[in-house]
Amino acid sequence: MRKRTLNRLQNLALMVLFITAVVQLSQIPLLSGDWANRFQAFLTHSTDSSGGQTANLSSVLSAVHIVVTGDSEYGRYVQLYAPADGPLFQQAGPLFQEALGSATEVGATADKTLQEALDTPGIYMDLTTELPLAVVAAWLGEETSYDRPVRAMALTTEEESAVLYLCSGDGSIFRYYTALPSSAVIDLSGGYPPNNGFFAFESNYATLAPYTVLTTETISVPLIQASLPAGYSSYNLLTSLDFNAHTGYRYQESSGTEVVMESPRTLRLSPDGTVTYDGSREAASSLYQVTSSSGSPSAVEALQSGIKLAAALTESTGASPLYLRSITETDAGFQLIFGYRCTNLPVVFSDGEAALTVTITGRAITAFVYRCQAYTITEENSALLPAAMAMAIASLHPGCSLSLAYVDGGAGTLSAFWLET
Amino acid sequence: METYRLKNIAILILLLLNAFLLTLLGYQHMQSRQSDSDTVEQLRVLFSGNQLSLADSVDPLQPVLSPMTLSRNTETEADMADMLLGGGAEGASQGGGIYSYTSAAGSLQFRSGGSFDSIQLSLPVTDISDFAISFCESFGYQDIDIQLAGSGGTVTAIQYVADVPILGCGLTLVFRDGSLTEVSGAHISLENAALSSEEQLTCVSALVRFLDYRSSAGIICSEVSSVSCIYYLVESSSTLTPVWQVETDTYTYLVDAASGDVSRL
Repeated sequence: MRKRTLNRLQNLALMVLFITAVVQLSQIPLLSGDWANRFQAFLTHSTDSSGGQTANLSSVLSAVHIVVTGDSEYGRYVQLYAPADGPLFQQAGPLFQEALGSATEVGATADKTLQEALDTPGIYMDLTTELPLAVVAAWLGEETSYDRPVRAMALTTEEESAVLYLCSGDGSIFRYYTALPSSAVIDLSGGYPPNNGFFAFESNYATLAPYTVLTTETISVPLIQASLPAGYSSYNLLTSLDFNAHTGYRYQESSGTEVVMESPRTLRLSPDGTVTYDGSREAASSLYQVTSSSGSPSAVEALQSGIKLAAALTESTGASPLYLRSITETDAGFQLIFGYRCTNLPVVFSDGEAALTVTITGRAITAFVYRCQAYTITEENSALLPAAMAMAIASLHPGCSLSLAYVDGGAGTLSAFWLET
Repeated sequence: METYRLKNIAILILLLLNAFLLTLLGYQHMQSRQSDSDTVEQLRVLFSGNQLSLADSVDPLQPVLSPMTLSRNTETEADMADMLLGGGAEGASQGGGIYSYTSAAGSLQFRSGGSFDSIQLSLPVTDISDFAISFCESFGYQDIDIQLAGSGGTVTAIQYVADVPILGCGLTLVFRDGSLTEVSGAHISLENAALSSEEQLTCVSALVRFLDYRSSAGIICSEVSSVSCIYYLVESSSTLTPVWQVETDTYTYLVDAASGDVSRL
């Protein structure tokens, strides 16, 4: 009995001394590592908070133009190509989210109504590309039952609650009442004093598309360097695209293009960085399947699969990230077009082709064409035409918009240009 | 018997190990305290070299708060609406994270970021001070400032959590002719809040950032009278961000503990 008691005391002492030794070891900086942090976290029950669920979608959408109108008579505040992680979008985005979520459609409205409403304190967001409203809502973290294409959105304060306007690329404008209090929009707009920003319709360049966002501020953008990333290799691409990297069913064409066949799909890898895929609707790999909660995938579900594919292509090769330029519903499914972006400006190829074109048929990605490219920012600035001169030249072509972009002719140093679209 | 002796030896070894580790930790603790003391001394020298005095009551070694991601608590919102609308308020979602509560006295709207506003409110109140104090105590508002003029007046307060004030979580109650006519403010709940372990600026670093800002922005002040770490509510992301509140003999400044940006309150 006494022996048993002594034995138990010894065991207890061993356990206590061992635990105290481990605790003390974890507190010594020299000896602590990740295990120590986890141990400390376990003892203090602290938890790590992770980022939001919408981060994935926001990173694939282009930077937007934001126009903030305050009480001042001296113009508006304009930020061209505002990134989604920038402070202005971080404030404006949630307001559009609340407005869209609580929107009640009033109906179609005229340009004059919108232009008068834009004189009240408010926020205007030009998406720079037309997208389905469902995709825009998902990007903002909201759902909507309305279905229409959206190029731009505006929140105005001519009523007690903010009024939402949705503008399509064809010029149609729809008006919505929302539950968002106007005071929220006024509070934001009061924090951004004018910086020589304006719309085309209220300027001497009224021949431009009326809601073209313009500024006379000096714009400075750096030169960028284009190159084929070092990670562009058949092994990296075959692995990331769920092909057998060691397959024997491959050959090389006279142009140097490597053709890999895994019936019924084919992958072509060109030495210039072009990757072409042809497959069937019966996709073996989950990378090419579109997850859908119903029979036919929605635009958002199609986009999610496109994003997954884009990430596989860029991460495996070290190419620059892609952003969505358009998503179009076809008879058989969807077509997604992605482009590159650098310093928040779009990069366009001189031949007009896209960086990635994805064809979705039914519930599978059945084809894509990808141009692999990497862009790095240099120390020098682009020799950009002054904004006023660009506006004057563009206004000679009625109805066009003005935008900034890098033009990629293949490789080398790229400069930014004003483009008429 | 062998086992008994082996265990005794193991206990002895562990005792010696614990003693060694305790000594080591004690030495490190002493070194850390000395280092902290040197840092504080150097900070005071740096401040005096820039013609800026640091009050003796300022503790540069005070800990920084951790950022928090908040979750919405609609039950608390309903309770607040009940009290501000005289009971029996009916709630409804308006979409976009906006909830509206309505009773015979008027309406109250809560947004996802925590802010709330009244719409056409008229709630008769017998005793303005009692009503305001009761509401504030029920929902964690302190620093209550009651400005009465006859049967009307304004009450302002700020929400505290764990004795820390939250900038951006204020409350304004406006009374006219014995009735509550306007309510606006913001309220957060710590239920299901998640702490972030991202590194934040220490008090010493924040004071150095403030010193840099003072030099570059050319602001005029000669003394830092107090420094405290408080929270700032970022409604758009429903997060509490720690900021260092630096009170000087001219204005009060805020140093963002994550980015180091300095702004004037």
